[in-house]
Amino acid sequence: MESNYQLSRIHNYVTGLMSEEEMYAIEREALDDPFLQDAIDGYKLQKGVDSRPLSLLQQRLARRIEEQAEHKSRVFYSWQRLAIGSVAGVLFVVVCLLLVFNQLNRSREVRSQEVVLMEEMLRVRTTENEGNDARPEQGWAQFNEELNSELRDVANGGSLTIRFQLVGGVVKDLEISGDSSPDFLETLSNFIRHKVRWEGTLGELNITLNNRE
Amino acid sequence: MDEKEKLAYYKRTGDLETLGRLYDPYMSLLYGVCYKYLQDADKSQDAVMSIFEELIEKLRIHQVDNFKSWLYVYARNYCLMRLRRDRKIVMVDIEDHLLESEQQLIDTDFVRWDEADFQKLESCIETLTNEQEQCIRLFFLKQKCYKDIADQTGYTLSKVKSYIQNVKRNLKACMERK
Repeated sequence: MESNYQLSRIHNYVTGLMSEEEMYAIEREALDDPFLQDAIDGYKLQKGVDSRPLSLLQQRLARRIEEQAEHKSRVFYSWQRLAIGSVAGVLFVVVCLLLVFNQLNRSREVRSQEVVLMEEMLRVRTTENEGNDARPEQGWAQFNEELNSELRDVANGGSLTIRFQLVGGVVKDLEISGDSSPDFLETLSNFIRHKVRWEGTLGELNITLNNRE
Repeated sequence: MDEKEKLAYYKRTGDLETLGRLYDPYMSLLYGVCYKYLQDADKSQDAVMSIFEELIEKLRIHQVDNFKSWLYVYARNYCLMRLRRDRKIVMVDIEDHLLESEQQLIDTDFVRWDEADFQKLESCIETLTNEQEQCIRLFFLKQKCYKDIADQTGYTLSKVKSYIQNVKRNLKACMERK
């Protein structure tokens, strides 16, 4: 390695193991390179190059870099656990709520109440296709809920494939394909363009709306 | 990746392994520089590691074109600050510490000389003291090392080194004035 070669030159110079020509060459070099000159002066004060502190330094540097990598993975795993825990918690609450509503629903035979509950059910499902890196700022769960609410008056569902570019968070080149009612298509297009704050660059999504029962 | 690419990559990503690869080749030189000022093996080792810690942040903010020169100036300032903080007054020869880093950058621009330049140089050499003239003629024209010059002239090794370093700088200034 070049640095080892330079170090052995410094050592040979400081300890007088160089020929006159070699000494002249390193002195000439040091005259144009104050970094080298100061290092030579330092090693001269130390009376030669001692490999121990240098190898200790190499170890300390390697350890420091390793620490950073470990810290990064620790943070990553703790975030991962936290995220999994949060999702599990949310799912648990949702399941409990559904069970409670279901129970209440069964115990009351009033038809009008049934309709209200059905409207509040989540009819929207969003899946990310390959290549997608777009993400709503509020998260997918909130996205689905808000879209569900926007589509409350749309009775007939369908499944639509959506593709768009994001430039500075603004939706460009929005393409929507698939079978659906015009209401669903228009509401969805308006929602994606104007009611969501996006992150990322490319949206490749599939959105399914169940028919209202 | 060359040094510039590593610098740019680190600035963009903050990847410590890249910074390590950038810093590692200079560690032994840095240790020597720190030893020159701090004159203690443990303090010099700690200084080399502390400088690395400071670079983690600095190199993500500052645009650095010549890493070697920048690192040298940074390390030297770090050591001088450290000495000042420890209230240990160090006398350094201002001549030895003047404009060195800038010089290094300028010296890389080689320009072909014509007859007029050589005449200017001769007239600048005439302004030097006898000792200075003797030393630079032996060093630059006869290509003698410091030790041989010291043996031949009877001056101490440090005097020879100081004459040559100062004269080089003074000649440069003289040439630019003429």
